[in-house]
Amino acid sequence: MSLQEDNKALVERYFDEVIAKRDLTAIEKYIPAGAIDHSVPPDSPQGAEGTRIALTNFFNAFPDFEDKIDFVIADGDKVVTHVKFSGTHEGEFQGMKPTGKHFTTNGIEVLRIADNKMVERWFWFDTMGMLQQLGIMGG
Amino acid sequence: MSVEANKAVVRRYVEEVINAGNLDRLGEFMTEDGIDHAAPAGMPQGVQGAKMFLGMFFGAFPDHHYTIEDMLAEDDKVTIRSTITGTHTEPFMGMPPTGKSFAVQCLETLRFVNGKYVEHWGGIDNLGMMMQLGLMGGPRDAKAADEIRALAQYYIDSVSKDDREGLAATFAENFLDHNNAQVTGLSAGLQGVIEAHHMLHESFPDLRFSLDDAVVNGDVIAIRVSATGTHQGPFYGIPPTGKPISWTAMRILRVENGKFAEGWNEFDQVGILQQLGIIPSFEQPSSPEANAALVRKVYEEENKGNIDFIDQAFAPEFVMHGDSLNPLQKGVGPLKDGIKMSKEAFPDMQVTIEDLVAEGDKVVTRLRWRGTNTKSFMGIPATNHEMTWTAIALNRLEKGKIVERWFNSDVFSILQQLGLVPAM
Repeated sequence: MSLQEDNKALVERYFDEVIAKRDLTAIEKYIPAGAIDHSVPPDSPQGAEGTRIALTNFFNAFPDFEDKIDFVIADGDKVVTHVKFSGTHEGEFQGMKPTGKHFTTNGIEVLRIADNKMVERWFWFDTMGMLQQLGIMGG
Repeated sequence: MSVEANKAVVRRYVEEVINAGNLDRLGEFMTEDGIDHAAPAGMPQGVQGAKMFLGMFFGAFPDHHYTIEDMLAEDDKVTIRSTITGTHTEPFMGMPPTGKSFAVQCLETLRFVNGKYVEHWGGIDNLGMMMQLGLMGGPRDAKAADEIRALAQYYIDSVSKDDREGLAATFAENFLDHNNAQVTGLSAGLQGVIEAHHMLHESFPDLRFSLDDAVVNGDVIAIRVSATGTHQGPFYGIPPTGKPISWTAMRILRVENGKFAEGWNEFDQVGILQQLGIIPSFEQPSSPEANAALVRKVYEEENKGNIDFIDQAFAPEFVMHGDSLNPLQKGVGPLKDGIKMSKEAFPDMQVTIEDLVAEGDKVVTRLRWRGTNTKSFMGIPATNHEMTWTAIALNRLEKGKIVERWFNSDVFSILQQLGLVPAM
């Protein structure tokens, strides 16, 4: 397999094991301690620990959370995933009380892979669309 | 086409359409029925929808710039990671310009067929952008005082420019004007605001508003406005007089969801009608008796220590032709300072009008001051003696105010009493 195919397979395994199966102990297999996420607020925890905290909060807020890959692009040492994600707001999320509402939105994620781990990440998703669907923000 | 060819198309698209702000060429890069997966439901698709969306963005942020940070391509798709910057100098989705800048990241993927894109995914970090512009991140009615001030400034500037869109960006659709009953036939809400200001522009085509003062408390702002304009169109049925006039106004406006929701307004209608020559001026022709009474009152108030009465009795352009102790003075400031200085050195100082003659626009007074010199005066140590000095003042009045004064005092006797020159 080419490097690009290896990288795609790595990302797909991460989505299956950590996100779909909720195995947060597997995070270290995919994300090193020094990994950098360029799309989180400046003071946020980074690396494997930052991901663990973020996913824990997300799974608590949206217990039925789903993050599915629509299609993937691989170029050089980077993989781009196009995802559709959804969830029902049943727990507190960033200080906002549960609304019981459901959202579905899409996102794009660029991951740089080195030594079979995701060392850098850029992420976009339709935040306003999500907040509007949850009724947290006016439409 | 190769992935490299598609990347090259992206680079040209970014420079020639996005950064150049040239939507006419969008169709060279996007198929007519291209699909934007990120477009909000209900937005038109294809080139038409993209033009609408980009046009709104370019309009609000004329200095927008898109910088490609990275491009990743495989098969028929290109993912672009970019940074977008801009300054909010024009209304954006109905929100008045904040003057603030933003820099946010953007992730997009385009799918190409024969050198044009047919599908688009992703977009700008719109939440980050809104937060950097201060348009989000807390209830809108809890906007900081300076943002409410900026809103008022934008309203005033929009009036001067006769900019309906500017008014629409500052006043809520259902704006409640507590004074619009003053003008019959005016619509309610924003429409009425637009009509009222448009009427003013028809009467005074060179109308200019300026914001002279603003006071903010919570969600309420009080503004003091001055206006100028030349009467070149009918005004309340008054045919054009061609006169340049000016007037003042005050408004209180309450802000809700980032726009003015209700307001109260007072403006100097009588002053406008007087300047247009429709109603007579209230200024009374001043009589010698009235002039004399005013001059007497000036000295009575001086004896009571009410030096600020000078502001009411003297015209701002007052000129005093004095003597060596009281040289030429313009305005009331030096006059007030002189009295304050004397009252410090002679705390019990009192003035008596020994004679008063009034004729025409002039009032002449013969005056005597008495006081005990208990503090140093003009650098000379206190003598602790009672001193007395005299003066003659000729006042000229205009429209009930003192505009000019000639003044002579017995400076020599004052210097003698201070011990600066020998007694004769």
